Amino acid sequence: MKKRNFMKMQNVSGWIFLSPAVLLIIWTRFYPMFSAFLMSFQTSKKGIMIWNGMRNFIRITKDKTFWECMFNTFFYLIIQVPIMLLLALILAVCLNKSNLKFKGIYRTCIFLPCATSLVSCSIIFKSFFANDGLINNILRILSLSPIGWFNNEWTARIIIVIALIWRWTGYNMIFFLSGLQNIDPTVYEAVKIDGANTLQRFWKITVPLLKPTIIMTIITSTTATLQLFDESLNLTNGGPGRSTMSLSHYIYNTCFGVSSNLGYACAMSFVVMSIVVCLAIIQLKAGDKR
Amino acid sequence: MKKNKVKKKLTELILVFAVAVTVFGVCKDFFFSSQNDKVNEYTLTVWAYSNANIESMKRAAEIYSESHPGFKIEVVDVTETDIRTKLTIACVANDLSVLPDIFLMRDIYYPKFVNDFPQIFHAITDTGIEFEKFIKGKLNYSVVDGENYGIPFDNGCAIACYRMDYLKEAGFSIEDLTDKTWAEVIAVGKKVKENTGHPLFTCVAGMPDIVMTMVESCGQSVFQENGTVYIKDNQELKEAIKLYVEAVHGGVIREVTSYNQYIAALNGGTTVGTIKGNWIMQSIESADDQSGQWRVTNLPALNNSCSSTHFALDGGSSWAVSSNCKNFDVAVDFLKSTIGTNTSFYVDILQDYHVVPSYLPAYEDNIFSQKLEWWGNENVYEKIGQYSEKIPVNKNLGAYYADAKEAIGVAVSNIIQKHTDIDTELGFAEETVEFAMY
Repeated sequence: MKKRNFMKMQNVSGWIFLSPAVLLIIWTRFYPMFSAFLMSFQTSKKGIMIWNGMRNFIRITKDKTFWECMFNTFFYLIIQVPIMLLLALILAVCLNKSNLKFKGIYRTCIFLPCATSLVSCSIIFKSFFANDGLINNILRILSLSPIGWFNNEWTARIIIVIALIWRWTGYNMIFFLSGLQNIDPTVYEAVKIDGANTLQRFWKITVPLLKPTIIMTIITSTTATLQLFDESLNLTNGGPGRSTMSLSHYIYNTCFGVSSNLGYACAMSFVVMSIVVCLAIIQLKAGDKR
Repeated sequence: MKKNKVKKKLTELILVFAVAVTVFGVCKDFFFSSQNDKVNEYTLTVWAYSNANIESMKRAAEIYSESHPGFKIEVVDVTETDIRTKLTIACVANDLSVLPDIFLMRDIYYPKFVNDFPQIFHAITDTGIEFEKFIKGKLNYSVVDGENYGIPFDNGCAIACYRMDYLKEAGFSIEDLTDKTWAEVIAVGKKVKENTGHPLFTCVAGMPDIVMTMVESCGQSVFQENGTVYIKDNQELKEAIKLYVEAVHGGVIREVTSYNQYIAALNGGTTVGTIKGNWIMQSIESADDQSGQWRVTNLPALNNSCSSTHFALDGGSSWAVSSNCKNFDVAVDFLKSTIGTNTSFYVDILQDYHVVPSYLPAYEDNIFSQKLEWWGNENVYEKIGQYSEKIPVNKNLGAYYADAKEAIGVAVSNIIQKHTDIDTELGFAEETVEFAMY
């Protein structure tokens, strides 16, 4: 009896300690999400929100710009995420070698881009690839003709992908490094005795044992890429035309751009959210074979 | 051991102090704000962007406070896009108390905001401000359904600026580019490119400012009188885009990707000239080594038809009084007795901040006819004043004018970059605007 009371008291005090954080999260996260969900069924008439039924969602199906931005976003996702993760994995394996000198310096250097602000990173890439920028000047020195990087839709998209890879590879490498450190070195010794070469060790031992980390990084980078915003806004401003605009950028423009339509922007956000959730579930299911 | 304990205590003390300061900082406004409001009854809050506008507003307040002791303004530097974002959010959140008393907004956004968020504005129609003394073509933007919502400020008249040293090198004079049509100017531009290697104009890709000035200089709009979009079958627009694309492909217009690169082209001497609102003169003047080389002239006309002129607007802004203004009469009287009538105020801000007014009587002052050494001893301000009176009035603005401009920008870049068909792109642009209107 007494023990039960004690447990109960502990439970209550636990909740009391938790409540400020929980209330803050509800107030700053869940309440806005909920009101955004309500807003996705509304539209603005003379500055006042009125109910609009499913019309915002029907509108998405007819919106060519939305689908153009969807294509761009998935292009970034499909090209950037695999390249970035493979690079991060290779870098992590290289830097995990026990006999490597100045490990700390290399790790810091590779992680450093991650500490820069997205906006400054975008501005630097923009000046690199500007008409009279560093890259074009190098091309001129090599007596090649300079390229209007931001004037062509494909080169502009590729610059965004490069900027993303530069910015996020180090970040994912850290996860892989910590994952690698959890792998028992005796496993490697065992396969070495069995005569496995470097590649075999990588694909047969490192990758399967790192699977939980790999799935985690795939999910986080998928979500991050689908929410890509800063690069699209600051690096190319969606141009030329709308050929590099990401979905988040289009949603932002619909919210705060020339034609402000908050209800429609909320509806689009929920479509993006459902895509992110679906992808995460698929990735979890595909990766989980226990 | 003991040392550690002392250290720990000290850290605790510092942390507690930091928290206390933060809490006080947050609560201070909450406790003392009502008191503050009472003391500065005459303080008007103003949102403005760009240094010249902010300083001009401060100067106006100085002048007004001489005759009205106790009058003060607090100018908050908010960027142009942030002003619009803040207004939108205030409306949607249904909290207009965050609005300032007066704010500056770009002319092109007036129709849109008055239509979408009428509750943020306080109409200033019958307040004694003599609106007919401002540039008609500009005033028109801040008039919606016969009501005035803004008092025009800077002059947005578009001008063409050229560098004489480059033109001479190619064997041309400023007369070869004055009172001409676009076809003639492009022909000159091609020769200039051949001889000097520089494009005649530089502009920012995706910004259809030049195309819009071409269309608007004919008094044409991208909307019809009944409010429907007029893009697909708009002959003037089609002709303008064709000329623009021809100029880009012929090397007469060079497109850069950002505004910074555009300014760099002007100051670094990689462009022969530019077409922009006359506020660009401030940026051009910042390159000291080019003094005396630049000349100002009127725009090329779209074609030889009688409706096409050499004059259009590009940019510019007007001051609006918000519905949150507690001292509406004070705010209006302040605007009226400075921006609305005071010629000497305009002389001041022209001298100090190079703000060219849209208030026409100001041009009677001698300072406007002064010959500027920088601009080849020409009376450029007087010239601009004359141009601005001739700007055709755009009768069919419509709430979605800014959307249409954006859609046309996308169409133009697609035509240039992807070599797509002009009719398909314009059809798509029209659809986009109709989609936004729906």
